[in-house]
Amino acid sequence: MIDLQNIQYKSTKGETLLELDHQFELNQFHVILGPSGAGKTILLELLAGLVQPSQGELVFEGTKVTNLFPEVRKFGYLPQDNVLFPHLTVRQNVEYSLKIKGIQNQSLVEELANRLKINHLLDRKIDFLSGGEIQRVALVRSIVAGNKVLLLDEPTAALDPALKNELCYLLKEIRELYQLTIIMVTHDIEVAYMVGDQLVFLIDGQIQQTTQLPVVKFVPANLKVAQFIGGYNLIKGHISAIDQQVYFETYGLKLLVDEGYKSMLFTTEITFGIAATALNLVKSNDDLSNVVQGKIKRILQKQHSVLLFFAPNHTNFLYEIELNHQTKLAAPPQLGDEIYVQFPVENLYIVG
Amino acid sequence: MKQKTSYRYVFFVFAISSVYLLLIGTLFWFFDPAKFVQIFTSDRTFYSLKLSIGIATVVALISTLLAIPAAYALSRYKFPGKQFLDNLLELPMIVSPAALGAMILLFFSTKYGSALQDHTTQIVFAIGGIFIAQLITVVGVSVRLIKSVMDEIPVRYEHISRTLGATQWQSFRTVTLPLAKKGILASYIVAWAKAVGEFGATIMVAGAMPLKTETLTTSIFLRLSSADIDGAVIFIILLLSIGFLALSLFRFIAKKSTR
Repeated sequence: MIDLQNIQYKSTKGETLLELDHQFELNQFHVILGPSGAGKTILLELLAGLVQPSQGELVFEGTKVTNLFPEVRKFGYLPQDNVLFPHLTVRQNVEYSLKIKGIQNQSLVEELANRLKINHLLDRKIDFLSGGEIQRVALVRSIVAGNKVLLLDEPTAALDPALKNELCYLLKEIRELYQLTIIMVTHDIEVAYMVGDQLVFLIDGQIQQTTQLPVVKFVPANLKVAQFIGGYNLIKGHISAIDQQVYFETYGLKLLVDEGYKSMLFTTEITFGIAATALNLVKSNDDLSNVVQGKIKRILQKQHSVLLFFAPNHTNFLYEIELNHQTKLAAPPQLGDEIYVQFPVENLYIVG
Repeated sequence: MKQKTSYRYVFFVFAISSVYLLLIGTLFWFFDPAKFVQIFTSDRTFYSLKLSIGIATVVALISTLLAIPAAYALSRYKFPGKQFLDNLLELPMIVSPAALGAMILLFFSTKYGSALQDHTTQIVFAIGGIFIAQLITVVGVSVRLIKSVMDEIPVRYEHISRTLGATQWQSFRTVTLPLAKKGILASYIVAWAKAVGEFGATIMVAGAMPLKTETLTTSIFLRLSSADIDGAVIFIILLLSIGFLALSLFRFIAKKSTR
């Protein structure tokens, strides 16, 4: 286990950039998700031993490694850019650690080069490698060095979609094959779901949420997570109760919510979140709860879905509805159409 | 896209360059080929040439070797007094070489300076003086040049090498140094050319004694002092040729390093 015990990292100006207490299980694929400036790269550098925490301890397999040099710690680090040594060929890059230690392990080099499909690149200079090839060479180099923990900083950031999928596949494969622990930083939620065993949401220098994958229904733990992942309608309002029914009131809407939220009755302002994919288009408001009538204000086509921006009647607040292209509709939605939208009770959560 | 040439700006390039061309052209007005052969093959000229190039070669080498770790420290680390020390290294560039030479002379006239000379070698009005004057003038420039080379090398490479098992020294030796190689070589050439052309500090500390402390630059001074214009011109041409050769070499290395 990699145990980060009350780790704090402050900038030279004394500003706290990272504050966390977290355990990473070994032999798992952990994905750190967060916006730019969240402290993701600092976390990787802390783990690699390239920067020192202002306080706290880092324990790896029961041993304190906080003050150990990076070369002793042996956490492989693949930064976002300047990944390969430009004065060396691909082979020299891959064999760098072996040369440093004065040992030979051609069989491992050949095996990994074959597995990650870089054997035809070994005698080339690195100048003309593509983004995907650079990442694959760097991965081979790090595994050849004997690192059992790999720290990857946005490895898919500069890749086109096809190469992104290919790299994700390879990452999953080598993690399982070589019993590696991978801690990868990304802001790409799709990539995170493809490779991760655990998602860690790091926002404003703090872990906001951890989620073990696969997850049936992802519920953001708070407003920061919901805002980061996007695709959520975040609605401010307050709770009211009539008889045994609990309602959430906002912008002229009164939505029935889970009665467990009755405890929030006296909270002045709360934020509810509902995923754009969780809103349903219905034919009318007959026999259904939480159906709101309104007009379509804007339509955006996406590759696999369509986004409708709709405003309930008598309000200007826009709600986002994401309809899968497979959704059966009587007719394709048109701008200005009068529609009925259902806010399912079970998909309305408090996020802040 | 190529920008259209604006000759209003280009005019200034020609105007400034023409001043230098005029000065170089003037040299040939006084140039006497017969005297050139006579002076060029004299023992005194050969001694000055040997002294200038020999000392400059050693000075540039020592200066570069001292500058590499200093420049690396300035480029990579934060430490108390860094800004002050960084400014202090600019001293040879902001203070006139004559003033710098006078400062060296003053130091060696103190009891500590005298003791140092007594226990090592003669500095004032000796070859050792040329060496010290040139080294002090050049080492600051070397640090400045090599620091800019180090600044250009992303620290990421060193980070990666450390996570691949390299110690700090191995990382420096196998990553930083090879990447800085061409820049260091270019800075060596600049340091060498500056040392060859050094005059102010050298004459202050070592004086200008023929066949003893007479370098190429002091030769120009001595010959002009004795109204030997033809002789001075020959040494100026010699220094110009060395300067242009060093510059061409520098440009060649700089061009190769950017490829």
